[in-house]
Amino acid sequence: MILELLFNAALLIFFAYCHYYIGATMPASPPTELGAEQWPQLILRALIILIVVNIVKIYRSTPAEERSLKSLKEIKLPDLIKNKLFAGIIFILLYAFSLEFAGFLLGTFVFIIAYARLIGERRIKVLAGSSFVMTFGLYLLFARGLSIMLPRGYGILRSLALMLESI
Amino acid sequence: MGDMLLMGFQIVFTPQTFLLICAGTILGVIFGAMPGVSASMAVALAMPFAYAMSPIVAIAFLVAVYCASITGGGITAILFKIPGTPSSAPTTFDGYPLAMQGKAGKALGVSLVCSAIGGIVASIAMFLLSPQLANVALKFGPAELFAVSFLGLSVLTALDSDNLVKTLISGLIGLFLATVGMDPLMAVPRFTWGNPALLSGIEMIPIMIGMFAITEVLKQTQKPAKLADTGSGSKVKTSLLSLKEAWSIKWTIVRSSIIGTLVGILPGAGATIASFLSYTTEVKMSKTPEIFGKGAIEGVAASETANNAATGGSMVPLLALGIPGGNAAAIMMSALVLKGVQLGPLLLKTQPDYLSSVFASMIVTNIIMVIIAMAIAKVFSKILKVPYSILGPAIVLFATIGSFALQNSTGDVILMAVAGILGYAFVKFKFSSAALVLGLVLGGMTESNLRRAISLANGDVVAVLTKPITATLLTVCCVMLLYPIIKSFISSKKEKATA
Repeated sequence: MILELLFNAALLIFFAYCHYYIGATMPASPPTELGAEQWPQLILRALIILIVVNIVKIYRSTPAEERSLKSLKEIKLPDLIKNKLFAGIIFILLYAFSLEFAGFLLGTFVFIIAYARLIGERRIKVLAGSSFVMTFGLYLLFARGLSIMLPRGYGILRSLALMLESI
Repeated sequence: MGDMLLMGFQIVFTPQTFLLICAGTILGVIFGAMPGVSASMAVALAMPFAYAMSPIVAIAFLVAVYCASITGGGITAILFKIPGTPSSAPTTFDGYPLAMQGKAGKALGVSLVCSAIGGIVASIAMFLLSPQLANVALKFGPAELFAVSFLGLSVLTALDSDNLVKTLISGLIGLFLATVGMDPLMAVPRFTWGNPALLSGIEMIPIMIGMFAITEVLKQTQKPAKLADTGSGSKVKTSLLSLKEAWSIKWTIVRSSIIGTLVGILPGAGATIASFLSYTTEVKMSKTPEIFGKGAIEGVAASETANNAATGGSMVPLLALGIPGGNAAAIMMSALVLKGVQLGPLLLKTQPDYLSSVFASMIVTNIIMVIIAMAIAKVFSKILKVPYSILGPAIVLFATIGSFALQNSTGDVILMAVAGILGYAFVKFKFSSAALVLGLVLGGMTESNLRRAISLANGDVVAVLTKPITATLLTVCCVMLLYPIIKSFISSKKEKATA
């Protein structure tokens, strides 16, 4: 429950800041128009009110011990790192952020092996084989078949991608 | 009328045209099933082939690609929770739960048959009522279009009536996300924090893919014990609707066909809005709204009927007025203009063979599409036999390509990943991803039309809201918004009285 309260509090702070930001950075609109800043302000005001209502609802329906910050201390860092969900989120984020420089070929090959291993596949041959087939098969399909060039990466990875595209 | 009909089918059933329609249907279903290849992208990819054809054959071919791609989008939505096209997003709400229950074949059958019915109803409406429907569409100015988009938003309260506040927050977050980027009227940057990548706004496809597909993979990563229920390793047998089943959802099909056709006609609305509007209308109209989102065939039927009906609807302003109703229609229009065809009111009088050939090709496409899409769905469903330890990363991979291919931008992949994580938090804390997506889809249309209408009325909001069509639609919105609140109030009063 404390996590839910914190999530709502984070939303509240973010949207309150957005409301301040749009008001402070945009000029006021003429009275005959609904200006560029007024529509987002309407939405943000409604959002802030509803999030406050939601926080009050959660607070009222939660026993005092569950909404205590002490329950956060029970979360231990080593357990968090070993958690599959946490690892999965990190893998997906790393994959998304590395695509630009590592390129589709290397990034995807490593990602599939890592994620498949995380969710239970242990056979090295299956991991490497399926990753190779999916990575190179899809790259060729999109690059050659649909002229959609997936990220090439930098340096030698770019040269490899260009070579594949010229096949 | 009979002569025109005969002429249309004569054109379509010449061996060359018929083969090209079949080829277009195959291409369309495959493109549509590929995440990231939207219906308009499918038509654009098929354009080079159309250059070598005569204008009438070219439009028949492109129409086949367009209709089939919308249907193809439903296949991956049901099997992997990845909407192949944005208009298939509502199909994931009930299609994927059906697949989880081992009823993927049934969901695919409902999706294909309803797509065909929706497409056929819309093409009949287009053939019989093109000029009249086009005139109705012309009566829809910014104020009326605002009311239509608000009607779509008003069904937010129906998406999850148990968590009304959280559903409304989710919908408003979607509306907020739609405001990021250049403002639609004055071209002023909003919420960009000086980042040029945000100027073009937040794309809805990476958000949809992230919130549906990536979130699902994260859920399965956290609780692999549920893997046995997904149908992994089981055989998927695509089965068509029985007559009894079709009869039980007849009103869903009728309502969705009408909504899809009408929304398709409106410029700027299109198949995505049609499918969302139709889905949420069904939730509102249903006597058992609680089954929606948990595997209701009515949900799949509503979404797929409406998005295919919208394809027929979007051809009405294109052929009758020369106004493209959406991106795909605009690409088709450009192909025809390049070939020297002048679209507009005179086309129907001077060259009626265009209308009749489009009509005939839509009818033929929608019929052969069921057979072709069933075969392609069988190939796709074989992927379900792959163990989830391989299928999970493969889904992330398809989601990544789908997001990247949109604008060739790794920024969209990052957006998809973040949306996936946010989607997981939404599931965990019982917010509604569907409401967020609905807000994002309708946000741009709602804002730009409301602001345009107020500007045209010199700031007189009352004049905008009291126009006959607008007032009627807004009254319906109010009833739809307040109904669940009044209903829960009355039932709580009854409970108190009995206690």
